[in-house]
Amino acid sequence: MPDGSLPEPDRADAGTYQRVLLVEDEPSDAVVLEHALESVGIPSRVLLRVESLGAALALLSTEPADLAIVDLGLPDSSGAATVRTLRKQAPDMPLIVISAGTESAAAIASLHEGADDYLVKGAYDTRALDQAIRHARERRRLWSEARRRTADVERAERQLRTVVEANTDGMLILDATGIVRFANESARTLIAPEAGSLAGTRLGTPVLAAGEETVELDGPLRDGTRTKLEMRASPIEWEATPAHLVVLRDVTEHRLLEERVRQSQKMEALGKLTGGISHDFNNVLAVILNGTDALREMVPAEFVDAHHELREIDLSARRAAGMVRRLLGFSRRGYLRFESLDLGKFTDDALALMRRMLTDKIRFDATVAEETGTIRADPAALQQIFLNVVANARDAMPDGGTFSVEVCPVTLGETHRARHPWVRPGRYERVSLTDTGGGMQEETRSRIFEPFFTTKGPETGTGLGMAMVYGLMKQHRGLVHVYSEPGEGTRVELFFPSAADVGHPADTKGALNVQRSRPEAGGRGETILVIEDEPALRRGMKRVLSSAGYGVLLAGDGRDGLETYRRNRNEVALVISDLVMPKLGGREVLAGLRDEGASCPFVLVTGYGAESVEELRSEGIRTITKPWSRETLLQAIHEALGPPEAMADSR
Amino acid sequence: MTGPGPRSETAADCVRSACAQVYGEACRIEVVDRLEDEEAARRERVALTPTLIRRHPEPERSWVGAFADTDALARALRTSDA
Repeated sequence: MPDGSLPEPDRADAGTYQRVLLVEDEPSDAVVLEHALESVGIPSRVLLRVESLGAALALLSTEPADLAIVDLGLPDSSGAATVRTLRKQAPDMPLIVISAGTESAAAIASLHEGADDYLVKGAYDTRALDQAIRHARERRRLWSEARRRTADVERAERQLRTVVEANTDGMLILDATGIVRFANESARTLIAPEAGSLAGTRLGTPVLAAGEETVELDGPLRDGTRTKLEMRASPIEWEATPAHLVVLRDVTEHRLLEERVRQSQKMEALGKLTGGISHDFNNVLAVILNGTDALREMVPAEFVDAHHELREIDLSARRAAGMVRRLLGFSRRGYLRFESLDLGKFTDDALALMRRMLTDKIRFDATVAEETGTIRADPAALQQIFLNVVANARDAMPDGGTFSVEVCPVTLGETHRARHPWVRPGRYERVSLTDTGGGMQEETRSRIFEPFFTTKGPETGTGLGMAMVYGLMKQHRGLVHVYSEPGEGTRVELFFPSAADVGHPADTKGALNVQRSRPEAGGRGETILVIEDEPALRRGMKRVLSSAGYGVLLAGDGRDGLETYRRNRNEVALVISDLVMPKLGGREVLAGLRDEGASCPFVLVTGYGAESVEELRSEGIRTITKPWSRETLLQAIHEALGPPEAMADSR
Repeated sequence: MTGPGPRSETAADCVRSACAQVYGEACRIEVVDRLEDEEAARRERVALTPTLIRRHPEPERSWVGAFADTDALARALRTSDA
């Protein structure tokens, strides 16, 4: 019983309590308690007294209390359950239980449920009450602090786990013997997609070469394909023992990409190489063709055998020139040599080659319409287009199928032009190449002409085949359509403008297509300045030009050429210069002439390698290609000196 | 290892030299290509290659790496028994 004669309790807490909850259904007990609380500095005005657990919960739901004193025997709840319910509602509220003397077990149980202290009715004095309150407050403070810290730690751990688990790099902790102690989700996906957990499995102790931070390893096979993983390992401590932190990164795609870049660089290097070789090679061929030309004129007609040999030499040199052109076609640096050809007949001839490319399991069908027309095309390019499409068709039908070729004339309207600006409406010859293979998804189909896009492995596909088809078709002013659906096979349609219908842009007169019946163009004593670094070619040019009635000035390089021009500017009617020379190339000579204010025509002689003829021509530079023949040279010079419409024709 | 090739050959040579250094010439080495013997790789639960598994001397231990540096591998083999 509280006793007024007891020493005055410490009232330091007075004012701390704004809301003290008193849950007591027995009025007399409540009065005693109120009294006792008053004497420890908690005035009755801050007391909120309720008589049931329900009422207490309702009160707490609107506002927290600083302290609760709770009777264990309430009308709607009793014993430790009361504390459990209250604690759930107010985890940080100091809570003291008041129990009857008979309820000591329940009082102790209530401590387990979260009560901070308990007092026994009729057995506590003011001091005990005061101490219980202080104890309860302190205990709750510590408990709340611990709870907050635990929550902080848990949050930090959750964040860390998120970082580790969301990382696309695989992260593993290996103990000193190479056993996995921890692995994140990415590690599981990367190295053991089928396994549930990696912990406890043996991966092996990482061994890195001295001075290396990473090492590239083979990962598991993924759908039968090898994977490449980059491993980074650092020594750490894990649970106070030496361990390794291993980070694994999937570099499979990266390596494939690198391989493709390497492949394309290889193609580029090969292109440069062939371009470079062809320049020199063409010079040699020009000398041979030239010399043959000259000899044919010198040798009397009755030396039939000699003329026969000369014809053979001439043919062989031309064949060699054709080979150089095919090499350059591969490197895509050469220019196309268009000629009129019957597409139906050409396709007929190409069928045998196509058939050879297909496997025995593939049935071959060909329908060539009778009324196919003539197109302007480079036969070598055409063949390349066919071969690329046929190779794709073959690869699409590993288990056999049917490959069909159809050639027929069609008419294209204006609608095609919107998508393909270089296409003119009109009559076209169409080649349809159809396979019954697996077909393509729209995503693949839409990317089929992209350079480096390939669905084949790095060993077989360069991703340039269809890109080349597209580029070549464009140069033919034609177009290519690909129709495909998964499981429905693929149809490639090539449209070539009909020669009768469309004037061809790149109508070049090649050295190898000389029409000997054409009357020879000759000079009327005009002076021509020849700039050529190759002595044999220089001599050959002089011989041809002199014999055709031109005056000739010679220079061995660009600088010499410009100098010669300056000295003879009133005389020089035309300058013909090689493109690639050690001192000042053909382009620089042209620029120099323009600086000098020269108005005479200029003809550039080029191999295929250095620059594309089309490029030079698009700049308005009149160009002949090596190896040139007497006719080509004279024709070009005649046209350059001749009336303007002839000049336009040669471009 | 996975498949033949220069890297696999380097790894096999490196393992042979390192083992000879550490265990003497008497040791027996078996090279398994998991493209040819998938079952063995699965049985040994080899996730990454090249992997080296030492059966003897016991305890059984394993290492993973490119095995291009004989000294580094020999050091790792020695450290395991330290």
